[in-house]
Amino acid sequence: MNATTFDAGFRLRPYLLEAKYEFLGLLRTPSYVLPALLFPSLFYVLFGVLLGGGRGGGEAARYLLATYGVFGIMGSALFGFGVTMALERERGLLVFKRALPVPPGAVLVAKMVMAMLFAAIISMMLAVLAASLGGVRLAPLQWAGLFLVNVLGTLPFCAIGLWIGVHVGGQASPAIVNLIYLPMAFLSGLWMPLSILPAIFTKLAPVWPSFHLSQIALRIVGRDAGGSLAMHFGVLAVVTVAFFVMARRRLADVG
Amino acid sequence: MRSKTSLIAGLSVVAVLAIAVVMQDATPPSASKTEAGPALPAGNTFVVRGARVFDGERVHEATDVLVRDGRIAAIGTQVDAPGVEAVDGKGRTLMPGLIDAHVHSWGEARREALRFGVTLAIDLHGDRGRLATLRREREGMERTAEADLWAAGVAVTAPGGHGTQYGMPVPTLAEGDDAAAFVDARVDEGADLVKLIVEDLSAHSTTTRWPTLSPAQVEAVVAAAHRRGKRAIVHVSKQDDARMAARAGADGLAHVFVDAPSDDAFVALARERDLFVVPTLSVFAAGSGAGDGRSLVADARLRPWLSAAQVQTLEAAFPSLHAHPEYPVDALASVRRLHAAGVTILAGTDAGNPGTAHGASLHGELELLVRAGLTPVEALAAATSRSADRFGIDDRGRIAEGRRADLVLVDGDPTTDIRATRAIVAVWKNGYAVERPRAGESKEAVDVLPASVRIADFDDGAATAAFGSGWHETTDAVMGGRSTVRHALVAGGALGSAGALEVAGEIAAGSAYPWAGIAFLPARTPMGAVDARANTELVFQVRGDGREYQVMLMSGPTMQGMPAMHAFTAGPEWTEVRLPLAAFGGADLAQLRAVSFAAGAPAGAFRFAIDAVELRGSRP
Repeated sequence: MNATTFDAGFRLRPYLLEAKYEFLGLLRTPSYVLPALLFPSLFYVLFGVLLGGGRGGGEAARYLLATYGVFGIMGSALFGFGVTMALERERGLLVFKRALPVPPGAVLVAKMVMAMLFAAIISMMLAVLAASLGGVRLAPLQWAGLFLVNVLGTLPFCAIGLWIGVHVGGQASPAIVNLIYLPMAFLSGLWMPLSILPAIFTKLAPVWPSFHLSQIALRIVGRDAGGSLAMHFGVLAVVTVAFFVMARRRLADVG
Repeated sequence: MRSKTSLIAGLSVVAVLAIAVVMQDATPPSASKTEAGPALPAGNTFVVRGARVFDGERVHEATDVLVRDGRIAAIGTQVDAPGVEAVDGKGRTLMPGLIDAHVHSWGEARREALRFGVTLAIDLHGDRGRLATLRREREGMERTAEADLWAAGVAVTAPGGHGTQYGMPVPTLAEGDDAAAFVDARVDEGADLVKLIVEDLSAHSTTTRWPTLSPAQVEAVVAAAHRRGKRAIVHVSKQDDARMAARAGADGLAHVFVDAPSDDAFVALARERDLFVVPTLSVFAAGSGAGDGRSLVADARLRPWLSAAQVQTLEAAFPSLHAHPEYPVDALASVRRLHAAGVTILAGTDAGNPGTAHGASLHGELELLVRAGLTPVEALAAATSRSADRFGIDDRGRIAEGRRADLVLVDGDPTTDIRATRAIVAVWKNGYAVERPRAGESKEAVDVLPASVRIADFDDGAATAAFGSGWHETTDAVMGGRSTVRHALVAGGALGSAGALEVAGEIAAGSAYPWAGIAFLPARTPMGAVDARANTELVFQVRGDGREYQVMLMSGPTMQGMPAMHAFTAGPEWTEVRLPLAAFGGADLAQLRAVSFAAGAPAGAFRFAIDAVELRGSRP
């Protein structure tokens, strides 16, 4: 073992440990795991398969596969960051961790990896349900694309969650996150296509970051509204960077 | 410093989201993309690449469809077709050619239908002399500009019943006639299916009653049709008649009934008998604002391809329906219930009637079916695979290997927004791209009348005219009325001439605009137009019972417009009547189609005679 790899291993170890304990911590929080993992699948089976699957050549099953994926990963990222960050901040864990020999970014990286891991699990569960019960048939590249969108799509919502987490208290955080999460999902057409809602919803949908992510996912299954892909990516990138910057500033101020 | 960075970050989020909203508005749905249209393959072998494909039942994304020699040869994600001309299907949807399950097709109808992506129509009452030709044409794989027809020939109706009022001779089935022999005659003429008419008009009129088939006759006709392996489709307007037809074993209904929304008992019966229903919501939709004729005329994706005649018929409404605002609502409710219970609904328009236009109306019908609770995909299936299945047509209605390449390519996604069917990029019939000339690019040839011209003097022993296509009786029967007329050549014309034309009959109450009389058709083809702009005056001799009569000029792009009218009185002595054509408000003399002499309200008998009819001009 030469010095370089030892060095790298040594540097990575705190990140890996942090991620591992974050995962164990979340896994032992049923109030997070159950809604985050089960709700998207449950809703999908209910609305995409049971209520909409047999009719209309699987259009509902296909559309909702894309949008419930976004819905699911958005939840895992917002809760994973928003609520845990608020709680840990309130309990003084962050201050405590500063005293530990842990790189300052490890906490955030760990939370991010967790959100992506949960996103991957949600994405797989939905894919299995869609292919088996929903009768959705996609090309291998389309399945892979959806998976990638779901995993990387957590980033903007991690940033938004972090920003919420550093602003609100632990008790209030689940309520605040839900207050943002659920209306945003609905208004972005994640539960039902915007086309069946009044036109004003379609007009205002681009206000919601989740709309842009869902449009990318829908583009993969060929059900998007035809907007510019570059614009969707651009919005998500700006949202990610901006919320992250704002959260870091706040974190540095209040700790 | 820190708050400044946060402020910048926050503002950039607001800015980018605002830009996103604005940008979305700047890219409206692709209605104008089709304007120029892509260059389409000249032959009947090509491949559509990367389209969303609706195969008649299901939707496949990013799929290729290979057409070889007019038939579908392969479907898949990466179809190998070296050297085959490709059509870009990205952002577009490829569908089977549309099927209109209820039309009355004549004249330009088949051409108009194909222009709007309707590659096959089911004709439920029309000219029976063409059945063999229709069959030969639809079996061929040649390049064509016309939609194919499956046809019933003439419908089975009672003497004087619905279907007999259109001026075309129709054999009728009287009480006591041999139904089996009657059906045999229709099938031997070449009928593909048997259409029955059960219509006493009681759903549309409180006073007028039409003779119609009895339940026993319906049962006998349906049984006879089935014995010959033909499907039996029944016209009904009332739920009780629909029940009777279903119990008699009918395969389908040509309309949804309108006297009441479908009750549970009928839904159960329709399900049990596997009855299909062609609701023809299009004819009930007039004035409802969605899917109706006016909304189709207003749609920029359809308007350029509508002929002037189509625009006029789309803007007209079924006269008898004005009194029943609840009909469209009940019709939608019935379709909703029947569909929810699993009864097969097929898309049909009854095109050929006021308020509809061949081809274009099917796009409105699809929208109406979605309003009635079908999903867009179910509505598309109702206009493709379901119709093919229920009418037993096995080489159309689906995109599947070996099927005839009757295809429609549209911009956008009609499987989520049904109105996208109107954004037609291309129509293929038998694998050949169909030319879609815009209206106005081909014009009707019109004869120009001389400034002064004699129409008829009735002196040569016949009720003929010097030009045009003769004298024809005309009554309000086409609008649901019961007025009658007969005409005859009589001796002793005006100014001592040999003969005159006597017209007599009876005006019956019960119709909104009752009339009966005689019409002169000035063009060489009946209902065609002549250019009468050189003429200034209509001059004729008249004698009669003292009633007031009307001269009615039919003009404009079709025969269906409101006539321009001018009154005259027929006294006991021969009198010359001179009517300046300028006094006929709204008449389009560039396209004059008929000059009628007719009685109107009040009800009662009438009798008059005309002679020495001529058009005069300002110049000799």
